[in-house]
Amino acid sequence: MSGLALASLTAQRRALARRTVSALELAEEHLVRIERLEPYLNAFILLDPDRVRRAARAADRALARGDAAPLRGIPIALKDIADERGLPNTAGSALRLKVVPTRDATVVARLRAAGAVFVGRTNLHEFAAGTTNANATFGQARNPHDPGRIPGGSSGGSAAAVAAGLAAGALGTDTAGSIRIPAALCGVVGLKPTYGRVSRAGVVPLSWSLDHVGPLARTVADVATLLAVMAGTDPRDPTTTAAPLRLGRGGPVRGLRFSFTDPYFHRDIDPSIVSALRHVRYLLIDAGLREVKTRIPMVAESGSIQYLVARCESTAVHLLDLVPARAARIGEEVRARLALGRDISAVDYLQAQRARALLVAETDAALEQSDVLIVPTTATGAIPIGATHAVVAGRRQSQRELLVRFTAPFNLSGHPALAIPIGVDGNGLPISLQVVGRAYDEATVLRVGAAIETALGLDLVPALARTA
Amino acid sequence: MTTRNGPQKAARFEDTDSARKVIARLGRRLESVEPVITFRPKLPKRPAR
Repeated sequence: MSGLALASLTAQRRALARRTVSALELAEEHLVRIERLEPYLNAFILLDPDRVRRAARAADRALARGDAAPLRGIPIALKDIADERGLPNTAGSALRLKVVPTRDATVVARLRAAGAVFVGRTNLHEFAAGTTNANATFGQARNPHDPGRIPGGSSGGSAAAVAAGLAAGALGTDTAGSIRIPAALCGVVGLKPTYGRVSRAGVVPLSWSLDHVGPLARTVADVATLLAVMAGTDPRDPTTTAAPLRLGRGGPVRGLRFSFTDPYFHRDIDPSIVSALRHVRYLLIDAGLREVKTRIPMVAESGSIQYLVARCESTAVHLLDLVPARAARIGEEVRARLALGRDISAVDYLQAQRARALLVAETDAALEQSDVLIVPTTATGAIPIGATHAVVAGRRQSQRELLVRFTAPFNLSGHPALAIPIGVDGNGLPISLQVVGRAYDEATVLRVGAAIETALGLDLVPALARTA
Repeated sequence: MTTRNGPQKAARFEDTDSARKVIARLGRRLESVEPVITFRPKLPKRPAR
């Protein structure tokens, strides 16, 4: 065994390029780890080891020819919601067990063309419509830091797989926080890019105007590598943009401005997150960034705006799934959530979209005054499986409120938001912050994220992952 | 007591009527605003005759 499974994607690339490890050896190491840890984590919905070995052998042949594709031979996990030709795309639902696409989603095609070896299709909250990853058909995905707790969702299997060293990186989707929440709870890095940066074509939608596709990995640099592959215009997705990505090799952060912004983001959160944010503030000032004050008053209404927009759009997306004969096969919780849009009028939807425009304008204005916003990703670390509420900062809060209230505003606004670990809570579970930047300015977001990551120097490998 | 940014409002996170009322309270602030929509017209490949 190469011992590379818990190393960064960047280190794995280097080892493959130097031929100190073969793609097949790297794939075998991941397959062994998956076999050992999957009974604890349930991170995958579909595994096909022979297919993985075939892809790895093909990668080795390409590497032997001097092929320098950026992900050649790198084990990548795909959330089971993006089309991968020849394999079922269940979107986590019993309704789609027999849906086998003949064509890759655009983002999957881009990862494949870059040489990725797909190690498996990861577990998710059914239809990506929830944050706990309690899946009625495929079972609960579990947190590698404590298998009695949720990994977050909806991309919970992706985050658990990356945290446990079962993949070097993963594809996720994010409608209200579904990349960033599981990244936070599992102690990995997750990026929701700018709306339009990564094609959604071939990815099962949940809410058209809020859905984003993006990467999860163990380091900020790894996420940047994956984003560079995933991003780009796509005639199959008219919302994609030709805005240049301009990802450099880091660069200085001195002189940039940061803001902890609206008090909304700092109320009723776990004290460990308060302390960690305070520590990060000192680190950023030490690194030469300047703190400025900003406000986004409309963020107080973001929960209501998100609720009305997301519920309407997801009901429309799944309208044909909600006829009685089909609806009975959807998990009870998700079925109820998907049906909520029926009680919301078109006028309510449009009024919410107008309020959303105010939120976008205020967020843009805050990002005129500050280069990045620094806010918590969630209000708590991972909560126990089955918990509907938790008392955090002395207040009983619902799991949904605890997990999505700081992430959803940036699905509404479309701004890029990077979740990175900043320590652990009183239970030893990961906690996280978001670096939010201007539209299409993922480069600055990643630069600041990398600076925080370097300054903190955390090692959040789960104990379970070290034993595999 | 519910304040504009207060925790009581945040607690009403998943309730259609509450969400509707929150938006309604914005009143005239919405009057000059067009809704966010995702429609983006595509340029034709050739000019129409």
